[in-house]
Amino acid sequence: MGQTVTTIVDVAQGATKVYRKSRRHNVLGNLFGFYIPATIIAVVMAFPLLWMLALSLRTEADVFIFPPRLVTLPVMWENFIEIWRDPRMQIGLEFWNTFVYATVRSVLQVLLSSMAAFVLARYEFRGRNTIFILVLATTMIPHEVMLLPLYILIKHVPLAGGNDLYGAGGTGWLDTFPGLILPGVVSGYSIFFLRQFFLTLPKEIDEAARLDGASEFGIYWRIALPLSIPALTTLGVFSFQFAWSDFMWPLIITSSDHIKTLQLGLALLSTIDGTQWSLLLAGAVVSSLPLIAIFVLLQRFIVTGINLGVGK
Amino acid sequence: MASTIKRQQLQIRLIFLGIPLAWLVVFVVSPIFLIFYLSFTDYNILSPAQMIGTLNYEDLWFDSLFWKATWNTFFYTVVSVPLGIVFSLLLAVLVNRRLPGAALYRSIFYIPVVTPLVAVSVVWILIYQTSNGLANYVLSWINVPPQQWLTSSTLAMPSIIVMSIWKGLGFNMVIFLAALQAIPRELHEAAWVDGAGRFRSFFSITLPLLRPAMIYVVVTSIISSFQVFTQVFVMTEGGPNNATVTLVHLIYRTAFLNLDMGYASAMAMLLFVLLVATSLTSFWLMSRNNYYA
Repeated sequence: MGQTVTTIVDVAQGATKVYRKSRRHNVLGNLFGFYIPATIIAVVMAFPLLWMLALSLRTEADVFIFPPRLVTLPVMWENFIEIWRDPRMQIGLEFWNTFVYATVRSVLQVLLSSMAAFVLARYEFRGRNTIFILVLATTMIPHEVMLLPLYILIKHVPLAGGNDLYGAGGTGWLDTFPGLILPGVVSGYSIFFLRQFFLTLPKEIDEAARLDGASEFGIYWRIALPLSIPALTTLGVFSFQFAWSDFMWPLIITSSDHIKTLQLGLALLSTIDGTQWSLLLAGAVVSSLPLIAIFVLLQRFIVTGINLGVGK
Repeated sequence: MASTIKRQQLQIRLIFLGIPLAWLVVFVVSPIFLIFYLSFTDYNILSPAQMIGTLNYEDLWFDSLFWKATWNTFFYTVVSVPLGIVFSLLLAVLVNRRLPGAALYRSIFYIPVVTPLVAVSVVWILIYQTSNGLANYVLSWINVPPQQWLTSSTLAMPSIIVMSIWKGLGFNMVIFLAALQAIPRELHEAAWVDGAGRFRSFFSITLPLLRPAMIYVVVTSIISSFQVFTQVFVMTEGGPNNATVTLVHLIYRTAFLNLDMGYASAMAMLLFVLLVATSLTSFWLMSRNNYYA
């Protein structure tokens, strides 16, 4: 019996070695099985973005030359200065508005979600599981579909924008930063995600901190949060990306220029006649760069986040 | 001492749980009831809502534009979801290697995902230009005559689909990649010892083990496809001849351009029910999925 087992293991190990060895020396296989197809696909995948950059660096006439060329002369670096000056684009203001929207939203989302998640993960009390399941159920509510009633709700926020106590008469939070930012700040999924993370921290830490005289708030603020920085970063990054690229909600909720976001500005500019496409594309590049930079710097958190379902 | 802790715990539970939950109730849950109510009214925002019973739903039944939008949305979903999944799985298999540079390729495939949808839609408008766009230029190499990508009613939706698939590939690739990496090497090695080739190994080992990831990807893709809006708004505005009007786009138009909030709410209510049903089906499918853990 013992003999047989050894033999099988030997055979398997031998085969494994052959298998690994044959792969290690297969340089041609790697070239044709990976590098060449991957490079071709990478060029195709990256091309529309390269094209965006290429079109943003030329004169308006060169945008439409046929046959198209990747590089045209002169290279118009000035376009990237011009967009900040052009009164039709207001890209400086839009950039700032988008930054405020994305930053405030992600900070508030991390803060509020972590509060609920902390209680749901670290304390035992009656009704906890029911609350948790209800929170989880809210993740089924589709986002875009609900923007219509949300708009009506925001319009009727009491005592804001000329509204009376019953939310009638004025415009509420329409066309304001609170209306833009606050509704999306808490989601069932963000609470769920952080709760799962808080569950992985050992309970003994809380007890030890209590014995040392820490307050309950201190346990949250000085222990749970610092230990969860990777999870909080992940959630914050996704929230930021979402808000930065968000289009439909800013489209619905805002109407005046002072609160317009980058994506909204670009989209509206693309639909009017006489658009300067080269400048519009320079704007598109500028609006994409922060997100690409965040992705390159924080890739690790983003990949983890997608696999834990934060992205959708 | 003990009572201080007890009191603090009670306070923190009330405040820490109370604020976010109130937020959820106000901004996430209450809109459902509002939209349910509004779907039975005639409401143009300016004057108070008037109850009209099920009239909105009856009108929908005879509204050809609504059915057109429903058909377009289904078409978009049925084409983009399977194609997107096949391509992203192929990409994941391709980059699932411990080779120098593999991580760089993964990053490149993912970059379209992080780029804002409006920004890429604007570029694709130019790529799809009939007389001087890149797409027609590339096709001219193989003698295909210029196509009216975004301005013909047969090609507009497929063009939007191509762009959307390109934009989303990297996202599902990352999910498949994690699932592929969770499959123990030994399984493939054992199959190799047993004489299974690469294809056999893929279909008999890899694919069955990807089932949980697959269900997740299918469901999230369907749900987001049903809500497609931004690329339609930017690239075609629903045209030509309503060929690219989707449900969310029609809801937007009805509510905010025609100010027919009641009617738009009825449409949104139907879409809501459809999407929740999809989510519930997925939970059921995942809970049955118990031979892999």
